[in-house]
Amino acid sequence: MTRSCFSLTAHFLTAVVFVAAVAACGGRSGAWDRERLVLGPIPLKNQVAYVDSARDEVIVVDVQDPGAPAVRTYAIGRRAIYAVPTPDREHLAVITRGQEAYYEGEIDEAPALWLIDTADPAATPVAYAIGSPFDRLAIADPAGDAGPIAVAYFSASGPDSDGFFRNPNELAVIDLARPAADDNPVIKTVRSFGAAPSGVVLSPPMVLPGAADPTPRIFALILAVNTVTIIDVTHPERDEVSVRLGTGGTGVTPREVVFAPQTATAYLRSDGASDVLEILLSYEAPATENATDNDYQPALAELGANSTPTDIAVYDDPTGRRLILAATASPSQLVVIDADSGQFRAIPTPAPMNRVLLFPQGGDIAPRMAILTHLGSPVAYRLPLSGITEDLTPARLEPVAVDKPILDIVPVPGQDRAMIVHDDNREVLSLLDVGIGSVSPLEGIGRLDSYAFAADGSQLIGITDGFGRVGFLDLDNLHPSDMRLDDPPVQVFAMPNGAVFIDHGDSLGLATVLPSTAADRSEAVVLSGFLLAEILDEGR
Amino acid sequence: MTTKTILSVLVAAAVMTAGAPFAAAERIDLSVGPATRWMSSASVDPISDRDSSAFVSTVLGVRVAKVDAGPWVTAEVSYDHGGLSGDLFSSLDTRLSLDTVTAGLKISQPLFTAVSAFARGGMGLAHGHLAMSSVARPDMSASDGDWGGTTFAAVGLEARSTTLVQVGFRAEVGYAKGQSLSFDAARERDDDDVLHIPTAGAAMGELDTDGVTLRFALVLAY
Repeated sequence: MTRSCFSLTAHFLTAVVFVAAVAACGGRSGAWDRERLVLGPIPLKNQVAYVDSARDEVIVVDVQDPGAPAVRTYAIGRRAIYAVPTPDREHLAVITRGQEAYYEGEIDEAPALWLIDTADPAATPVAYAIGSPFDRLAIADPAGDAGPIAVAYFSASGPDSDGFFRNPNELAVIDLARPAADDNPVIKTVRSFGAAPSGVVLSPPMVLPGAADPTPRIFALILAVNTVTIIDVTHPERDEVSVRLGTGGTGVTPREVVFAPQTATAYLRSDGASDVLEILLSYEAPATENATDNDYQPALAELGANSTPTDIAVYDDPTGRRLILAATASPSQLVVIDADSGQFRAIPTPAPMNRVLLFPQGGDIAPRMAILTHLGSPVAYRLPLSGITEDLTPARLEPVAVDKPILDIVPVPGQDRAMIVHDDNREVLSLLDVGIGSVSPLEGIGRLDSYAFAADGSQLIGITDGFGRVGFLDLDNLHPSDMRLDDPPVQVFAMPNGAVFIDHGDSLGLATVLPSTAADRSEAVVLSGFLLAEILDEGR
Repeated sequence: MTTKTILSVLVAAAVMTAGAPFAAAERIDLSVGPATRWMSSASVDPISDRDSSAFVSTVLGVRVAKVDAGPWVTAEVSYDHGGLSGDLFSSLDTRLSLDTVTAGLKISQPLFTAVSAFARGGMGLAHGHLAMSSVARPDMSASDGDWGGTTFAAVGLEARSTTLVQVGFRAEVGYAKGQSLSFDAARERDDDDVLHIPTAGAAMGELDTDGVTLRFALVLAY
């Protein structure tokens, strides 16, 4: 009997140990132990996106209904390194580096660009194989019937430990309106004259004058020291053209590009150049023997600033004439250039100006006033633009005393106003009424670490990092108000639907959403933990 | 099975265990000991790199019937408390606590003088509480709790002394299955007297706590 007892007990314990051993064969994927990098917050149309490099997901907080924010997740590839919204802010483009399979169970994954329709809960991210782990992305507005076009390229940060070789002149042109195909993306290496690109600027849709093809197209200007390379990214298979800005001696470094799409012209402000540089694209029939020959020819011209411009602004006057305002330091003047004729007029300025702003901004109304400032000086200058090209009409440069030095000046969207920042910490501000020329000081309790203007330009919304309040300034009557927050804010965004999104910088996700700038605490909603959204369901 | 149904069964079993059978009962059993549940669902992976969770298990039983020359039937109420903890992305601390209250029956068949085999099963309620917080900034935290129905079945061996007050040892292996628990990442706040803006926690998903259980216990019976 004792032997039977021991035998039964032994069998039971054996079964227990077996069950325990089988059950203990668990553990989890190494994905849960990855180093986590969160890109964002990235404001979109009425959403705010975060890219989680450990979860390989884009997490979107949708505030279309500000009273009930929704959270959505979209799966993307491994190791997100860069994210940028499309110009209409309805999509988010994310570059993922991919991974080389190293551990059991891992799968090789190539670098990719992911396009996500963040407004569509059912959207599936679209992937484009871009061949190399580019870490910068420029996206152009749609041209005609075509969709947006993106150019992925390398930043100047240099190679990292993940690669063996890196070609800094390589780039990928992606038609975001088409699915991935053999001819989408197109990978190119631009011609190099010993310099790596410092940036890529995409033009608005432009019609090439005289071209057989009347559809608008987008051109990419790849900027490098002494060189601008032009690619017709609507037809990326065609050859690029390089324009030499300088040869030897002092390098010419392009800093700023503005386009005149009606005339297919780009204007460059460059360090080391003594004038505004104009690149005019004109039609030239492609060579029949070369299937990839392009159909345009650039012409480089120097427009008579006669000194290195410190800032430029371009606008069309009420007659449709394109004018360029170029501020130069030596001599101190503002040069007004008729871009069509090349004629210019120099207006002396009391000091060298390095910021030129036009008002009103955007829209279809021609600017009526220019504001010139020399950052660091306590004076701004108003310059009415009416008749500015006429030598017989005296230029009325009207000083506006600001009391304190101007460190930055920011136009208020949709308004004839500009916010002036007087110190590095953005603690001392003032508001310039461009139409009247008056300046109103604004007093805050701390730094304006993050700010936004309401979509209609009626309110300035600001926060100070670590201070649990959000401040509002009614720009119509300068009436200030503020609201207590439950948590210290880090960033604030004004959404097109009037909602205000305040991110608190919490690693689990924490944001306060206000339905409008007029809302009080009872109408606000705090959304917590959205960076953990659906995390328990991911392993299933 | 609704939570209301489970609660009704629990209350009925508790009343039966605690009161009515006393007259006929020959024994009241109390067992206390460690238990382990291997929660094999991938939904546990974000919480810990281990599947096994440690519990303390307490079972109170009353013998309510004896089939002729056959097995004893014992009504039981049990309470398990345990959980597991870990980290996520090497930057978040995670903690899951799980409390289970069940009622059920145990059927035991004496094999020898001091040894009996048994099978037991029951149903009840489980309450899970999940908390996550930043390692670097513990004030950045979120937590939530949820209730769900649960059932279990187990088989085991029990050895006890033949004295009036019996002391023994129990070992069992079984399986627990229950409803998935849903958690929202609600912000934890410790200043309850302060007026707060209404907070909505993002849904973290559903946690499946099903798994094989292994239980050892010391038994005291009278």
